Amino acid sequence: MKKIIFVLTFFLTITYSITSYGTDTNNIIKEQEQNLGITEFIKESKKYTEETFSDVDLSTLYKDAISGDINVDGALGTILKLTGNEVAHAIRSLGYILVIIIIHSIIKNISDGLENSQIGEMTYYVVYILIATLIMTNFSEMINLIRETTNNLVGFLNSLLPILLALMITTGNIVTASTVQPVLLIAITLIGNFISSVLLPLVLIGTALGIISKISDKVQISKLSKFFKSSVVWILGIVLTIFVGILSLEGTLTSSVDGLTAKTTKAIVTSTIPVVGKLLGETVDAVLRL
Amino acid sequence: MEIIKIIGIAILAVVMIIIIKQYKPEFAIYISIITSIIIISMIISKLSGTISLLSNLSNKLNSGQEFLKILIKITGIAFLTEFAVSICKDAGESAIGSKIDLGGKIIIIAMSIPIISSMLETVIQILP
Repeated sequence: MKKIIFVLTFFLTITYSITSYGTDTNNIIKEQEQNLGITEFIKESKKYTEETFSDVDLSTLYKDAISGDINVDGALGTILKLTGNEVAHAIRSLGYILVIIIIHSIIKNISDGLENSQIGEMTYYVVYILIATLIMTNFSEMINLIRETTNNLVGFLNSLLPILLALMITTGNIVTASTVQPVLLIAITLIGNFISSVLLPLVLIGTALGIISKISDKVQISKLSKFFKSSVVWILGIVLTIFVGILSLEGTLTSSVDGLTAKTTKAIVTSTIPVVGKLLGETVDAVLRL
Repeated sequence: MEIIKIIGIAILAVVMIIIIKQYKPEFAIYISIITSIIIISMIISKLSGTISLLSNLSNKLNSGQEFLKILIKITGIAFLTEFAVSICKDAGESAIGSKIDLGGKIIIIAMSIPIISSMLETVIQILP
């Protein structure tokens, strides 16, 4: 009897059909859209994506994603274009410079036979200015990129660290959290501000002096420009050395570092960090071996 | 073939000048001026090809086309100035020739002022 009731219940449970209220998916999706304000969100986000992803329409992308047939053929190309943007720009500038040099050589050929030596000078000026302007456009783009990146990095760290510290403490890494001292935060912010407010202007002044010094053979200020450039390298090296020093003094970072890690770190720092890598590599080595 | 034409005209002019100098030396200078004008006009038609090549090249640039125009103009001014100066020197009036030279130089400097000022602007733009 028990068995029969059990089997009957089982069959009834399986075969019993109930009305499904979720068949009309489109309406539900629309309702959800309105409730969550997705259309407004997409409208707002178009402002940010328009520059880099001009060919991607977010609302169609969203609809495609819901219905399941999303198309990502163009995405890879766009990403490549984004990363290669600066390189492509530089190559185009190189082509322009080539054209300018060809024009220069033609005009120089014509004007070399003339007695008037001013023509040659003027030709030189024009070509020099054109090339300098071209390079300067690229250069100022690069400088703006550096400034933006530095500010972004500092801002990112400033906003990340409180959350990170809270997470570290809650997950039990109290010792690690305590190594991130206020001094470190100050050092991070200070170095970011230092680079964008002191070093970048120094680089710009050095570049301007370098341009001026090439205008005439009589006026020699190329040494000054060289001094600015080398001082920038030295200041950057010293600042980063101080930073690594603070890091080593404040943290118990070095406790778990063995010889292999120290050597690898030194090699990576020396070879990958441009300009000041060699200086910094020695410092890192010294700090890690303490 | 152009060079043969030029040589022919020049030799003809030289022979004519040598003959005329025996009878009316004051006319010799006219012949030399006319000859140089003819030769220059022949050369200038050849130069237009070079200039069109230059403007074609400069059309590929996105900036600085006006500068190249100025450059071509300056070169032309220098050409004409030198031509006039050499005629003056042939006529024995090197004082007037040097005045033309001076005028050409000053005009070239005046035309190149936009270039120099744009150079200054470029440098000032970079400075923080």
